[in-house]
Amino acid sequence: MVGTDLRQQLMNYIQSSHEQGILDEAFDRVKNLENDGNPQFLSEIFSMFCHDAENGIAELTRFLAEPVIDYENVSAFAHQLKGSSSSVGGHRMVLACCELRQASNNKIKEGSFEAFDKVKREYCILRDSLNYIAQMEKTILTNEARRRRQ
Amino acid sequence: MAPTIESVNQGNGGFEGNNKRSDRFVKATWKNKLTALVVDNGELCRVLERENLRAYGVETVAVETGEAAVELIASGSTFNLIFIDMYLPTMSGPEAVRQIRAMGARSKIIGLTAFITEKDEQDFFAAGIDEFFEKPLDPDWFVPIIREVDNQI
Repeated sequence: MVGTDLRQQLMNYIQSSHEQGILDEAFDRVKNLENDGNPQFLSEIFSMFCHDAENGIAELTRFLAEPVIDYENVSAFAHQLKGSSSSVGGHRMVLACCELRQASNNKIKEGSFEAFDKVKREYCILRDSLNYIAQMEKTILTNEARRRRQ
Repeated sequence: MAPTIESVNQGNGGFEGNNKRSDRFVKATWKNKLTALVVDNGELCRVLERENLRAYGVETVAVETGEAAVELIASGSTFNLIFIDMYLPTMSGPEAVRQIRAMGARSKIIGLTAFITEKDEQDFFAAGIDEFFEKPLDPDWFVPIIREVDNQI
């Protein structure tokens, strides 16, 4: 059955993301908040996350480009990014944010840049993973709705 | 993996949460109707905290600022539980908690933050919170808190 295959494919993908450390149990809790009343829930959550993350990354880019780095603001944005990435279960991105916060609290310039590069990389991986999951969910729900109408 | 909770209702019936997420959650039944206020300026965190609590049967309202939380309490609203972020714009979490406690609110107040530091812990507890946790909300710690509040009513 196509529906079962897609569901299995999605489960396998999520399992693999867990194994790679991209997602953790907080993601499972978010996924379980989906309900029949709002099939767009996951997409909306992931959009909110990406919006927050991209704003945070833009601010960090600005602060780290200054000739004199405002480490307090870098730390504050690392804090914010950690909060939002942990809320969607983005395990590796959370770790990268922790590194950035540590480096900025210690005012280590090179460490801050390296950690920020890691934050950006992990954000891209997480974003792509969440987008794939949201797209798969949408396809599954559309197919199920179509089958019910038949 | 679906989060689960132990059944907390020992009596005949109880207040069921507004829980339409049928198979994914064990229905939360509490002895009392429980209410919570979430205070977080981040939309993502605010929505997820609210939805997590609602999924476990707690009637939850969410606001963005400390000022909004203080205004709600000042207007007479009462909540069994308040979940409040440390870092809020203009009025900080600790300042909002101080004002809420000064009004005589006896809610169980749980402070939240992305990273707990010793200084933040001292400041927040001094302001009047009862518990302090790192985000995100995890049923492993918030369900026992809800159960404790339910048992105390």
